[in-house]
Amino acid sequence: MEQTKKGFLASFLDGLYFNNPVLSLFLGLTLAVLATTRFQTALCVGLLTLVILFLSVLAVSLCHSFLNKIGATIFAAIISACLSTLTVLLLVAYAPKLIDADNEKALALLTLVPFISVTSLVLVKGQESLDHTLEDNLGDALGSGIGFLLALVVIGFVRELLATGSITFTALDGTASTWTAWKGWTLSILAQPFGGFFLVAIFSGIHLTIIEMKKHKAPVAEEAK
Amino acid sequence: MNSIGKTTLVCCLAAVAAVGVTVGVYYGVTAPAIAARVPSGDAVTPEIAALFAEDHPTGVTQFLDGSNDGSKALLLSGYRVYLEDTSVKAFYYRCRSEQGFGGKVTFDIGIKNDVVAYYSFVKSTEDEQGTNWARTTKDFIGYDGSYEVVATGATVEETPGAMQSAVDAALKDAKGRE
Repeated sequence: MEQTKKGFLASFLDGLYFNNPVLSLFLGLTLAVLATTRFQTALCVGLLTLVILFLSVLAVSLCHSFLNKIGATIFAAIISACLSTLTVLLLVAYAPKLIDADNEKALALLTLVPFISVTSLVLVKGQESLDHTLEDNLGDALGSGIGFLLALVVIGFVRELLATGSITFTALDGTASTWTAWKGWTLSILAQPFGGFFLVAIFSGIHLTIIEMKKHKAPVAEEAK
Repeated sequence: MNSIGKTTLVCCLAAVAAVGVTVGVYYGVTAPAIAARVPSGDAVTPEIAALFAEDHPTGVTQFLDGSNDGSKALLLSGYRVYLEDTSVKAFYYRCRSEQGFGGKVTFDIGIKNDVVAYYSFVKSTEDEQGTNWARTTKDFIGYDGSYEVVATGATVEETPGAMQSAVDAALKDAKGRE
């Protein structure tokens, strides 16, 4: 299969900013909506997605000569399913209090981590890995993973803060500590799925507007020269 | 081999490897960790659950049943109590005091790391003063056997000493157990 080459840095920046998975490509929206109810959950899910995406793309890239388009998607799904299952098993073994269903301050990682294996971000990036070189794929996976993580963290922070007026952190032993920004009014509707879609749309709009403005400024600057 | 054949083979190998790694991690890491957290023992009795309510007991093992050992038995029953915090060594004893001023006091104590952490009055054949003291006292909480528990009053002064003999017996018994 013919592979195109862009370079590591260009692929990295493309995944991180210009084609951000959440804000530009709208990949992994289920995770983005579900995980951003809490800042800490968004951070954990974003980090896990980054690791799982990178390893899945690496595995597909290394085996690209044996795979066709459909095979690459299935292969990426198998690798990511294995990694997310391992993550759940290790969480159960080493951080049971952090994911305890009886603790309302615990993180909902047992529900969210399996979603990573079937998120469109991992499957699409896995399939696209066939068309590019290993260097480009790793740059794109790293950029996309970090871009996904940053988008989730920012949306999660704003969403939890507006919905509750505070940010809650849960330690590995299950104890929670809360940083309260203000008391009184809160937009509790943002804790609902609506809030996730709403804030993704808002941040996506800001992101795309900035990119469009830069695109329009560039020709004007060239004409002025 | 054609493209479909190679893809199928690679995906099957990946699936087998993934299942192997997952099963290996489950039996090598997760299952032992879960087993270590669930202590052995029987279901927690209501009395022990109430006494150790703050510690969330997860299981008990009875090691002593002295209820048929005659009227002089100081320890009527003894249990090893497994708590959520597995670093704490806990025991439950139902004690009966020696003869006080007018009778004996039956009470429960919870011992955590060789110190009496909980006390609960059960019944008494002591006189009214002694019974009232035993019903309301908190003097045994924090007791580790190193000092004397006392009460002042014409008849009540004999009750703490009689009860302390049973508490000392429980502390001594607990110290000798794993």
